[in-house]
Amino acid sequence: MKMKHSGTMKAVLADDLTKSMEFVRVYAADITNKKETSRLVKQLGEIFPLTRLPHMKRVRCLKENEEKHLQIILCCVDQEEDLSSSPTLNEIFQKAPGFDQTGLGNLFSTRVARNQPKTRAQFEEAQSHWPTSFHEDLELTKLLNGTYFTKTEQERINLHMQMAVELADQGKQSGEVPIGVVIVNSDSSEVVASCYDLRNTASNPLYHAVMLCVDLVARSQGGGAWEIQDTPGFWWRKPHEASNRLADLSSDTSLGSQPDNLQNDVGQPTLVRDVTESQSGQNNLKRKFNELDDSSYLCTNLDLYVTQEPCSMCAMALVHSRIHHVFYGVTHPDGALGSRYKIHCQPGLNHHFQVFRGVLEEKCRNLYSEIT
Amino acid sequence: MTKLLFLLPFQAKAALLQGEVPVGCLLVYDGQIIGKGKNGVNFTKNATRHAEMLAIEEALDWCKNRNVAYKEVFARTDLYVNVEPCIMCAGALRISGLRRVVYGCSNERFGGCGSILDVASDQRTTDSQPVLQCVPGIFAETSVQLLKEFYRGQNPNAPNPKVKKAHDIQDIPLPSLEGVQMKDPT
Ligand SMILES: [Zn+2]
Ligand SMILES: [Zn+2]
Repeated sequence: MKMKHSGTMKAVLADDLTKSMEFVRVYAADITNKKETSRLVKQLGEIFPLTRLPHMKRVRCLKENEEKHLQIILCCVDQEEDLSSSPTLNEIFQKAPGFDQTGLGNLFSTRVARNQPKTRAQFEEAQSHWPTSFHEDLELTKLLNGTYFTKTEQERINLHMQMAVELADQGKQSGEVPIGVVIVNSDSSEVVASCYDLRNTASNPLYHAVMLCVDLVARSQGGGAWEIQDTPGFWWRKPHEASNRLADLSSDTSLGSQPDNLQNDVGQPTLVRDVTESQSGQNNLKRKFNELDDSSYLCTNLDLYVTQEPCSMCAMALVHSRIHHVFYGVTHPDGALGSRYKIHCQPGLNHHFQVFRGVLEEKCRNLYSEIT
Repeated sequence: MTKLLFLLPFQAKAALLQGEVPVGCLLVYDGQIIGKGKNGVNFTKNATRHAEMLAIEEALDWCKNRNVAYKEVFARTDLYVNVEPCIMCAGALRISGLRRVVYGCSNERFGGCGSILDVASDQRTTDSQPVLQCVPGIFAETSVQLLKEFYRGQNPNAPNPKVKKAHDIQDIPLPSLEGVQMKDPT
C-alpha cells in the first residue's frame, strides 16, 4: 500500500508558544556621539536597570543610507504616565542629577517585547521592534516547522492511525461512537493495546476508547480492572509472553482493502506481524521483553493514537498514566488536548506530553461526517 | 443519611491501609448508598482507578441489577468524597450526569472543580449534561489528616490537600443540600 505523506499533522503547543508577543513602552534616545556609548550603557544600567526587561538589548544599531546610527533605551514608561506629555531628557534624569547626558540626542518612546521570545516567529516579531536575546529551543523549532519526525517516523505514525481508523469503523458498525485507539511502544513501535469505544453498547458512560485502552495496557502489565468480554479488535500484549510485533513498513499489509482484517479469531491487529526467529533469536527477544517489562510502568514510553481529540476525562487519564506522545485525527469542540483545554501542557499538572493533531485527518473526519 | 456519611472517612482510611492514596467516596441516591469506591491505582496498575470511577461503576451495576435507567437515577444522585475530584473524575461525573459533588479538602494538584480547571461546571458545546454542582468543606479536617499521613510515605501522586471551608460533620449537622448554591467558579 502506498502511504500518503501526511501534510496536516501539527504539534499542539502551549498558548505562550503560539501567541504573538506583548509589548511595553520605553523611552529611548539617539546616540549622537558613538564614543559615549559604553559609558552611557554602564551609567544607565546603574540608574535605570532594566530589571523587568532582562532580555532586551540596551542599544540598537540602525542603518540608514549606508550610515550606522545608534539608539539606546533609557528607561521604562510608567503605566500611568501620559504619553502625550512627552518629557524632556532633563525631566527623565531628574532623579539622577549627576548624570552626564553627553552623547544623547533626540528622545522618543517606542515599544519593546515584554518577555523573552520562545519561538523563532516570536523572536522575529520582537526583533522588528528592538533587538532582544533569544535562545532557540531546537526541538521546539522542529515541532513548529513540522520536521520533528523523520519521513519514516511519519509513515509509521500514519500506519498506527490507520489501525485506529479501522478500529473506529469496526465500532461504528456495531453501533458505537466511532473512536479507535492504539497504544504503541515509543521506541520499538510494538503495539501494546488497541480497542474502540464501548460507551453505547455496554451502556457505560465511562467506556471511552482511551479509558479502555489504558486499562488494556494495565492488563498487559498483569493488572487491569475491567472485565471486557472478548471483543473483536480488542487486543493487548499478553503479560510474560515473548512477542515482537512491529509495524512492518516494508510489508504490504493491504490496510483498508480488507475491512475484516482486524477481526481474526484472536483479535490481533494484522498491522503487527509475528517475526519468525531462530531459537537464539527467541532468547534475545525474551531478554528484550523482560527489559521492557521491568521498565513498563503505566503508559511511560508509550504513544497513543486516537481518531478524535480526547475529552477532559480521557486527557487527564493520560496525564495520570504518564503517556509519552498523543496523536489524534480530528479536533472536537469539547476536546481537552487543544480545543477547550490543553491539559497536556496545563500549568500546575505534574506530567506534560507532546500532542499532535491532524494525523490522517481526512480519513478520521470521514468517520464522523457520514452520520445519517 | 448523616449516619451513612460516617462511612466516608473509613473508605478513605481503607485505601490508606492498602497503600493507596487515601481517597474514598460514596454515591447517595434517595438516602441510600448505591456506589462506593476507594482508590485502587496500585492494585490494578491502572492510574485511572480513582475512588470516583469505582463508585460510578458500582452504581451503574446497581441500576442494571434493578433494571432502572442509570441516567434517571444519576440525575438525582450525589457524590460524597473526601478530596475534590481530579480533572479526570470531574469529567467522569459530568459525563455520567450526576447531580452534585460534596467534597472535603481541595485538590491543589489535580482538582477538576476549580483548583486546576473547572471541568465540573464549564459550558459544553456538544453534550447537554447539566453542570455538576460542587459543595466543598465536608470532612475537610479528617481528609487533610489522612493525606498528610499518606504524604509521609512520599507518594508523588497524592493530591495536595488544602482546607477550603473546614467544618467536620461531628461539629455541624449536615445541612440540607436541597437548594445549595453552586460553588462560585473562582
Ligand atoms: Zn473521553
Ligand atoms: Zn480522580
